[in-house]
Amino acid sequence: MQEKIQTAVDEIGTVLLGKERQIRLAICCLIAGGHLLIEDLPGMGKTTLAHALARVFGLAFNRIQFTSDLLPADILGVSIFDQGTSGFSFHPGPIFSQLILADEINRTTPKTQSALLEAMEEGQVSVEGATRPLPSPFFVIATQNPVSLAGTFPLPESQLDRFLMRIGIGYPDPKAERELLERGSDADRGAAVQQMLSVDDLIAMREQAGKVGLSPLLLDYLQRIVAYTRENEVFHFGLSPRGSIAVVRAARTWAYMEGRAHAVPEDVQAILPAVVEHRLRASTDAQGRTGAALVNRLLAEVDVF
Amino acid sequence: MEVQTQIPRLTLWWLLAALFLVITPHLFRLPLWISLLIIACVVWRILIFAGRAAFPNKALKMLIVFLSIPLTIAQYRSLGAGLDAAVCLLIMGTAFKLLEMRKRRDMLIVVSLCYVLSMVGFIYSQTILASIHALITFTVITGALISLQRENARSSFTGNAQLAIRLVAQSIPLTIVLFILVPRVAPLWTMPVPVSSNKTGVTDEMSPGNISNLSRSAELAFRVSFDATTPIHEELYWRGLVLDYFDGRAWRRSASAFQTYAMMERFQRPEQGVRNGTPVSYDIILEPTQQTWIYALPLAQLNVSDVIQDRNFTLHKEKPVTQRFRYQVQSYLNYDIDVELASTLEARALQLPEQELNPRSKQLAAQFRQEAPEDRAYALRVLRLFREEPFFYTLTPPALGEASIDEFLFSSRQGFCEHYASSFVYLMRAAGIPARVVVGYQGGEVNPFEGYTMVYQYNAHAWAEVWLEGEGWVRFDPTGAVAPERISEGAQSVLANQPGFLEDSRFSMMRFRNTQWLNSLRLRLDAMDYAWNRWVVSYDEDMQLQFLETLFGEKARERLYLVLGVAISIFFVIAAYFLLRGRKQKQYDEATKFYLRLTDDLAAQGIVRQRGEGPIDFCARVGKEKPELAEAMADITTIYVQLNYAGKLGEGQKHELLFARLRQSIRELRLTLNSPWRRLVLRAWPGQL
Repeated sequence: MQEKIQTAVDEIGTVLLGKERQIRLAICCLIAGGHLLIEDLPGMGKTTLAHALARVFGLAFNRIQFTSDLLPADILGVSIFDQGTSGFSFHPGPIFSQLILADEINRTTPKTQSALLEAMEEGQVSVEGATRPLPSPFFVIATQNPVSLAGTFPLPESQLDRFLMRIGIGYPDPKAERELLERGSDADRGAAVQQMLSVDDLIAMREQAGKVGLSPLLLDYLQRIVAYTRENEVFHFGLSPRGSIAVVRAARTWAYMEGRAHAVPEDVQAILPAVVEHRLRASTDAQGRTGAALVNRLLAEVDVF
Repeated sequence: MEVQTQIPRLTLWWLLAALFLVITPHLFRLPLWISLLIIACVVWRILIFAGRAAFPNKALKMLIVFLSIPLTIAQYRSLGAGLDAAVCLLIMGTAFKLLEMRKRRDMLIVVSLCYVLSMVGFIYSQTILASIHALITFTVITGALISLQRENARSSFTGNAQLAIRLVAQSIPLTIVLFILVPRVAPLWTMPVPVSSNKTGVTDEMSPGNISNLSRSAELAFRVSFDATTPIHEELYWRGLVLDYFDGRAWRRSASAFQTYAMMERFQRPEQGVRNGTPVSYDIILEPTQQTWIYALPLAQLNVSDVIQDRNFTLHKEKPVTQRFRYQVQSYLNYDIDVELASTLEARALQLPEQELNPRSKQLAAQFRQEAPEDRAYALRVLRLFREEPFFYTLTPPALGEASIDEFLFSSRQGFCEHYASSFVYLMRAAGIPARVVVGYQGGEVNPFEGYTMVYQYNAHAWAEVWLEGEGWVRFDPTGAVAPERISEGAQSVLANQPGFLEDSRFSMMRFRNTQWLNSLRLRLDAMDYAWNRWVVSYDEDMQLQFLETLFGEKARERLYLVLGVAISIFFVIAAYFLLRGRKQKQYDEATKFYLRLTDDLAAQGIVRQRGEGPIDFCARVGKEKPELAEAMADITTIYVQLNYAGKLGEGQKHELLFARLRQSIRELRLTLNSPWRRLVLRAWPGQL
């Protein structure tokens, strides 16, 4: 199964050059059954990655471009009077799909954001009194520009918490950029990605990952990390239990992807930045210490043993 | 940590407050232009902060520095004082530093300078007030330091003040313990003395007018505390110097007497004094006089290393008294000295000026001698003259001409103690009786709160000693014949209403002694100052030893070193325990214990495992840095990860097996890592392997 994952990683790597780590994290997030937030500047390949992920798993996906005038009904769907049946019939919105690509999620109003985020948490939507289940599996891959840019509605902490991981992509290295320039096409190449895994594979892998062993020593380490965020005064607030569960879930999946039947501290360290960065804030944020700096402290200062 | 380049407002105010406190006591002593210069610097600094003035440019700064140094030296050269000039330059330097204080580093320099300056103040004054001032100053400087070190966001005035107060308060008990216990080592340098202070007190020359001058001053001369009861006022003759050479006007020490300490030390003869009865024990704290002689009641006996008693039974110190000097004396008030008078002494005690200026006095002496051929009777006859004829005791006697004795005895008849002592001794010598003048202090005021005696400059006095056959030197005080209450009650009761008394101490509280509450306040303040001097300022090596002996008994110093040594060791052991506890306290499982021993050895080889570095990452790094260890390390890491992270193996057989393998591999690797010597130790002590 690990080889299959590697082929999927390589396949996405053909369109997102030199970003294997980010790709693996994204796949890890999907196997772990979590939603993914990709945050970076415009033009870094956020949408390409999201698109490629959907293709490689062969998931039915819808893309929603979030704008400031988007309304909840535009996502969830509306009931329209049908003259043929003389009744209202529900026309499902784009959310009824296995994978939603929510592009530039922070450009829409909080009202619309919360409609999507509710669906993410509950796995179902309530429209006009009727509760409708969403397909399974159900993933949201959202992209956003860094919140400091103008014309955005930053997601509050409570909603950021719903994403299992937040990853950035970063500038390509010179070699990858050269290759990119030589190709010279600006079309969305995510569509060129071939399907490598199936939904069944995904479910099987998730099941396998859940069986990855956690030793007492590793749990001690995890608890030390959590305790550190709660006790040290540079943290505005500590990691919530939901956050620590997320770390465990991601660490297990990562260990599974690495081909281990048990998680080691390195697994935790590999996924820690992506899983907790967006859940932490420094008590003096004015000093420019973002979540990244805090995670670096966690990695450097918490004893492994 | 980024370096802050802007000076925060709060910090600047703290610093200025500290500087203000540090410099204030010096301001009054400094020349006016320097004080003004310093104030100008501070004002300029505030203007810079308010944005109304610029920092001075380099040329201006150079100009200020190069102008002020020679000016200061010129100012102080006339006084010949190195210390005052140095202190002045230090203060100016601190003030100038304000003008180029841009960064944190500069402020740290100013803070350090403030600490030094607050200590410099003690050169000039060691009173309680100075100490309280220093304590407050210290707190404020510490506040400035805290405000400088704290991040802006967490810095608040009350927060900094509280922390500073807490720090200083915590340091006080430690300071007291150190003050009491730390061995007093003699300083490696000699303490420079501010020369601006003049010689005070009784001088070694007595001419008409110079003792009455002293009565203008209410300054303290010394304080005495008697162990038992205080002798009556009439007994309190504090001998200073014996003046036995008369040149017709002034009395001096005779040139043939040993006047230097070295000579006295070399040629000192066995004492001729006979001490009778039980002595009076007391303890004197002498204010600085800048002179070498010190005062005591006759007949003194004291054991101070650098004080010597000369042939005249006066006391001399090796070096001038430049700081408060404390000494303990036992005096035998009932004494006989020089019952056998040596011929040299006798010659000195009969000396009269070669040129005869006072013929009438000579005649008078001859006339009295006929009336009373016996020596003692003659002396009493002279005293009767003073008592029965209209002689007056006054602070402001008319000036005397060439024939001072004749003029005083026959025309003016107004005089202060020096006139009476002088003419009395003259009359004695004229009749062939050995006599000499003694100067010192007479009397003293008892402080009712603490029971010690205060002797002021206005207690300065001169009297006579006459040698009588079979009795030795006997004290005669002709002033007592004129103004008995001067001897029985003190100068202040006689002179209080005289013009000129305490004229130089116009604002002294002494002048208000008739206002009862003020007088009681004066006495209380003096008592406090005395206690401070007695127990704190004069706490020296001898006192420390005494105190330690009461604590530890004999061999106090050795025991103290032992106790100190043990205490310091205990402190370090406790500190080490708390510092190392972080590592020791943690309970590791068996496998990790072995693994950490390996990482310790690797750390000794230069590959230090970081706190947050997992075993697999560490293994990769070791492999990269020392490829020869890669294989063994990978092996160990695999087993270790198997043991500790691969599911819940528990205590089963497989676990035991793996553990044994891990132990074996780690031992093998460690043996290759260690030096041959340590390898030997490890083999001999397999528990450590």
